[in-house]
Amino acid sequence: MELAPYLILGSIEGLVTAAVLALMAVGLSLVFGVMRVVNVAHGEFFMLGAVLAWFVADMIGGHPAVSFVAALFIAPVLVGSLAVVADATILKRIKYDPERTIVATIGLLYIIQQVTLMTYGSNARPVEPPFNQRISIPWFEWTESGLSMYWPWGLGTTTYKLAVIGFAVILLLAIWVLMTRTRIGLIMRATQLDRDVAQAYGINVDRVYALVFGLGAGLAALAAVLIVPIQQAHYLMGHDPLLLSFIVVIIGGLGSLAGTVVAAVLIGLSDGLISVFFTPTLAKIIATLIVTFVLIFRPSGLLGKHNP
Amino acid sequence: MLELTSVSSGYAGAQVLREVSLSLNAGEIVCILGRNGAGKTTMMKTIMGLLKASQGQIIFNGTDLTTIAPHKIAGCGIGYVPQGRRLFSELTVAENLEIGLMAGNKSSATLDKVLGMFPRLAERLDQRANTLSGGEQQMLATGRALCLEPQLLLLDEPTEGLQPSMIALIRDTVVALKKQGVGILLVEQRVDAVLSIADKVMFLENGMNRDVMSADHLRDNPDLLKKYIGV
Repeated sequence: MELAPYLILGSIEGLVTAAVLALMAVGLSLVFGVMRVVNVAHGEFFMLGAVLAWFVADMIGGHPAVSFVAALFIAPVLVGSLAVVADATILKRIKYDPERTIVATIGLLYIIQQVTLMTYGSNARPVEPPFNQRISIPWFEWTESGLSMYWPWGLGTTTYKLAVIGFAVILLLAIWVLMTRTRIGLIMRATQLDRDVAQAYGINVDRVYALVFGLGAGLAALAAVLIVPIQQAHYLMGHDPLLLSFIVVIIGGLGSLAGTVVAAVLIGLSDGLISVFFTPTLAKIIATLIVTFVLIFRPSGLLGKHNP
Repeated sequence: MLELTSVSSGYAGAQVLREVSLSLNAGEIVCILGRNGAGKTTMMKTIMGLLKASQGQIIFNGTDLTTIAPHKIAGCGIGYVPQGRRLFSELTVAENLEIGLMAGNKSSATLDKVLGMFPRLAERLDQRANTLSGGEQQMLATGRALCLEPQLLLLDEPTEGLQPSMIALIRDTVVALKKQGVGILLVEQRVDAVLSIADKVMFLENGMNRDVMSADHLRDNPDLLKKYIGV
């Protein structure tokens, strides 16, 4: 068996996973970085994004591209709005206390999950991708007549998967611009660094927290809308991405957006490659082992701030 | 300008400040002296709304600060330089100053004025705050507060850990602001630095107001320092 073509296949699958994981984990990292809240319900915001994408696609109908684009806008906005309400009615009332917010978001996780089960049901449902042409990936070999190109059996991807990678890169760049080049980004970074002094300098911290919690949830929902044409929407689909997001955020460094993206690419690629050559379960085991070693040898993560 | 009437506050069940009263007029420098743990920083935080007053009133230019949201207090015209500077360490000098400008809704003309007062900051606009020297950090903390063009400036131990030339710069800045009519509430451990510029001195002990007197009176009666703060 020629190894290289399958490495390419594994890398593409891994980059799709990395793209979705990066969006979701950046949301989680943003919430932890600015608010110091470990949002255990983040996976349910992801699941809700996928389920709402199915509802929107089902209601609108017509050409898949139209319903998909509609879902891409509607689902993140609805999930983000729900998160803002959750912030105002739950997190703000317990004063963002780190321990109590963990328990509160566990409660939120079960509420969202069970309400989804009661309304959407237990079936997994697909959303049609807006486009999905198959692309075969060529490979090269030396023959008697020189270098020749051929198409190995099964080596291919789809235009939609490549679009997911491209779209995620654009979104991540947009988040970077938002955080580093805009006034609202400056306000969020100042709040992250010193909540009290930010308040003493006129920053409405409550409003910043609501915005960040909504944005984090919206990013999770957006990631889910992108992945749902590949994976299908299901009420339990939030668990694995939540675990992987925590792994990515810990490896990258808590609160570090750059570290989160780097770790998402690492974990996504290893997941893709190991899944192609071995099994997806082994990929999860290795990701968990990596996070264990990071916690032992570099507890602040790859790009996190070192705390002596 | 600023009137504290029987103000009490503290941290999660532990009362620190007990029925403190004080008045400060425009162009006046009032210094708070007291031993460690006397409640000086607590008083500053309470004025800024970072700690909730459990009792009393804090009136600034007719507005009761205890009834408005903490983030609106800066907009009333109060600049705050906290103890230990507490800059936004990962932000650049320019970004720290921009936060001050935003708080006071001021333009780049104000920024030019502040950079005129602290030219060294102008040379380091793109440098991260945590890479500045101690003196430069204090300039930035003060400059950030001055970007609001405040009517009242709260300075919590601004000369802590600074070299003499930097202490002189901070003192000159405070005196210049007083001449412009800015009211200044100063917490300071260095009694010598205080007595040369303050109009009024307040002694805090165990969160209570022990005495308020003119700085002239304190200069004439140095034994009072021994009585109240043991120096």
